[in-house]
Amino acid sequence: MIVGVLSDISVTPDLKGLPPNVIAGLIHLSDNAAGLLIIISGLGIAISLIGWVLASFTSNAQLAERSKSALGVSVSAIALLYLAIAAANYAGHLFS
Amino acid sequence: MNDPSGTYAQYASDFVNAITAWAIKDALWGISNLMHSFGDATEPDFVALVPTYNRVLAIALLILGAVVAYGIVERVLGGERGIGLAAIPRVVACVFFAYSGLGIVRYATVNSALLAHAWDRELSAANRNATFATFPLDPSTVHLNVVALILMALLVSFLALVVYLELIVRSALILTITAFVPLVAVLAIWPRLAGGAVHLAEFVMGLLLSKFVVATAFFVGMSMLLPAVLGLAPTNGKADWMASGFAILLITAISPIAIFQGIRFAHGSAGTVARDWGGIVQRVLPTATLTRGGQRLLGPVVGSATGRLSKAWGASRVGSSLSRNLGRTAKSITSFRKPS
Repeated sequence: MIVGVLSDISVTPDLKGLPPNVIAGLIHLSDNAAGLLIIISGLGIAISLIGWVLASFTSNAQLAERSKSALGVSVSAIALLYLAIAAANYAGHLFS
Repeated sequence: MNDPSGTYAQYASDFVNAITAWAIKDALWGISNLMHSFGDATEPDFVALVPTYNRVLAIALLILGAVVAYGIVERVLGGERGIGLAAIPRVVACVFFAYSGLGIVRYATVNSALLAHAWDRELSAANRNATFATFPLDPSTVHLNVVALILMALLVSFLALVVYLELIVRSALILTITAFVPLVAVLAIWPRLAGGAVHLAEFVMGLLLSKFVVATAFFVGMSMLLPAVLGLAPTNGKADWMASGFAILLITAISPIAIFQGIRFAHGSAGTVARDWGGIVQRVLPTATLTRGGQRLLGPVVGSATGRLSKAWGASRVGSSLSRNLGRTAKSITSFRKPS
């Protein structure tokens, strides 16, 4: 019954039905968000590396751990972004 | 030589007969209309929503990247509600719900509509075209004066109108809100916005079940009011069935929010919104005066049947078929809930 009800109505994203300026605006919004993420992640990577270097000079283990953790978060953030874009392109050719 | 007083009494009797027949016919029409309102006539047609849903789904997919990016930005900046690696399963789950939202809401609607038919067997006795056997009713057993009977008939008709409006608004709300399911599902990827999805789910669930709540309240009201009208209610010193039934029907028609607030699964705000259009109708009526008048009229009526009505009705040939329908409905309902 569940399958019957769910398959009764077919749903597909109607990208062609949207006005071109709406599509362009939404893609621009996503680009801006991605750009912001890259900037912040880049800053995070830079700050983390600086902190790691300082930690090694001062032998501050706590700062070193926090810097490593921050570096991991920043790098994984960019990785996630590219993964999401790749998935979106694979699934719906959204950003290709 | 003609007796003038006898002629006037005959005129008065005919007038009372006509009014009573009209009241009963109106009440039966109201019950029959309500029964149809609880059916498919007030269910949303999701096929009409598909083009809109497809377009909103496209918009949702286009902003998906931005939502994920902002969620990760919050995580990088040390926010409490950012997303890290959990973004991957969240994206998969939320995109699944964005695609299947329409089907899920439709499935829930079909099943919640079944609940609203729970009382069809008893209420269908009000249908004059019903095929099952009828039994005669002695009109003299009606323990109600003409004014109270007319008041009851007007209440049922008014209830039919208001509930129909509420159910139409409910249907429109379900359709409108379902169109935003993809957007809300995609926004829910970011934990900061996930509360919106929960609220929407609760709201839709409340809307779906509000029909069952109203139908049940209406049935409870009728199951107390009709036996009291026919003198079948017990007189054991507990709350008077007629007053209680009248109050329940008034609450159902005028303030169903009072019911929704007491039932957790029927979302309070959903009930408020759904009844707002129906509330426009009731706002133009003197509700307080009507309630006070109803209490004054109906309170002392039970147990003191007016001989004049019985006599007039006994002589009536017009109202017998109509009163048979009323009796059939009452018997049907009381057989479900027999007085102790």
